[in-house]
Amino acid sequence: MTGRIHKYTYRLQTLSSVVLSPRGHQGFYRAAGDFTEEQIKTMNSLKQKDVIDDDVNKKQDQHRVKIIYPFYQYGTYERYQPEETQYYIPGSSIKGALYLGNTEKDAIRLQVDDIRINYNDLSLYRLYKVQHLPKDNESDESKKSGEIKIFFQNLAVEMLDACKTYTGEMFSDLTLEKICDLLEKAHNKNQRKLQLLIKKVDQILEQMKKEEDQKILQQMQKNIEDILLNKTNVEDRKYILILGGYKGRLLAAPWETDNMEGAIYIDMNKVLPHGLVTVTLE
Amino acid sequence: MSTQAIRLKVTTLSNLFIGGPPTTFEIGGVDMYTVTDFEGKPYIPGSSLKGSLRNIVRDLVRHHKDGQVLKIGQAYREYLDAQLQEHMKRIEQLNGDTEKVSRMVERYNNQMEHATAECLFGMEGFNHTPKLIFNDLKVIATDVQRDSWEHLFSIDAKNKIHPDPQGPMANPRFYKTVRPGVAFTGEILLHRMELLPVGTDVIRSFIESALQQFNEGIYRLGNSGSRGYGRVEVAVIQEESDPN
Repeated sequence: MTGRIHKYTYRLQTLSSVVLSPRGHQGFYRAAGDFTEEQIKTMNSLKQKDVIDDDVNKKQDQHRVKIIYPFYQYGTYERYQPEETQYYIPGSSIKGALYLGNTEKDAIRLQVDDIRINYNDLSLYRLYKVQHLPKDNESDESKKSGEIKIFFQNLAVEMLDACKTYTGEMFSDLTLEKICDLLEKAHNKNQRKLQLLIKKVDQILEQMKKEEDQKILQQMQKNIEDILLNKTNVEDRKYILILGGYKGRLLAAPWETDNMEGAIYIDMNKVLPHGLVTVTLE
Repeated sequence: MSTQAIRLKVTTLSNLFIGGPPTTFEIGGVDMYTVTDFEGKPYIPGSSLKGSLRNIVRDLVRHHKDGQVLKIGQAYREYLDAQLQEHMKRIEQLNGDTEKVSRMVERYNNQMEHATAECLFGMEGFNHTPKLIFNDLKVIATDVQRDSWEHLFSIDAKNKIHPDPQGPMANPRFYKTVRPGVAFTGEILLHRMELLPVGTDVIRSFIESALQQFNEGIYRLGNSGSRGYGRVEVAVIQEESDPN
């Protein structure tokens, strides 16, 4: 940075649950005594209440969890102990979401700080993914094999809940106008990515085995459309960003092609992809 | 001659990474380590603080054209001029080599022309000048009973995604950093400052206000400041005089 540095404050609001986890390197393992089944049970966790709706299934689900991928945390911890842990959204994730795979060079002139997260705003979730789609993309009755299922039965992922609001800071020698421009570019690219996802869901809808799963996907399309129409307004300096992991290849980067394959993960509570946030520049 | 010191306390507010020497590489493991001492304790090298503070002072020189900044630049010009006159007197007595003398005069004139408060960090080609000397900042041990310093670190992962048409290319790196909340202490020595025609109190006050700039969040210590690392709180904790 060469000129005078300005501080910009923004409000970040989660629209769906956000997965920001360094994953394997800091996973907690029940077999190693890092956490107990009881801990999972008492934690107001495994919040996929729409899917696991009876006590028997809930109990079985708690029993299955053998690995926890925690949210980003300062320090190192020998055991899973959320109430003792300092969690944060890495500034690098927000900067990366604006960098758009090296396409926005101005983003290099941003200095984005971490945002500290209260552990009460985090929960353990299962990963739900569209699986078993027919390989040749045909949709006749015999090939309706697609399902929305838990991805990795043994795994629970600590995610930042939807509908949480935090304030963040970034520093740059760029003017407010340039920062808005950068956010707007990211917003437009994310809109396009979400539209691609809607289109992709159209393509796979008929390949789903159960009507119930089709309905979930249609609901997700509708929820995304609502967000695109109502939740953001660049004139009010409010932009959509997609943060973190488990968002699938479609939402990972701005693609040149409309015909991109990729996994679809679903936040079953909000019926949206993971990682959707709005950023409002103040 | 006396050397005064500014004693300071630096507390990390985010992860801090100061690139250490290369170590053994383990696939999937930590591949970037912050510097540690022989006991495995993190520390802040004096050179790291010096580099960041010099950056602050350079910006202050660029953006503030009055007050202490100008006074200190002027003081260095006067100091260099006095040094030059003294050398000339000695050379006249010794009947020195004319070419060498003219090279020396040119070197002094050039430095005087460009002298600013940044001279506090040393001047290339000029030894024994009034300058700041930075000691390493040592971690303040909060729990001496511990036999390991691992509680002072974070293991942090950064994953860069490249949008390759064949599929996103991920480039994960694992960093061992100092975690937030770790406090360090050390000193900046005000070496030979009495040779400058400006009070040492002016230098001290200028450096203390430059150190305060760290607390605004713009200036960072170490690497990857643009990605949230290296935010620190700096406090001047005491003044001391060490007759030498």
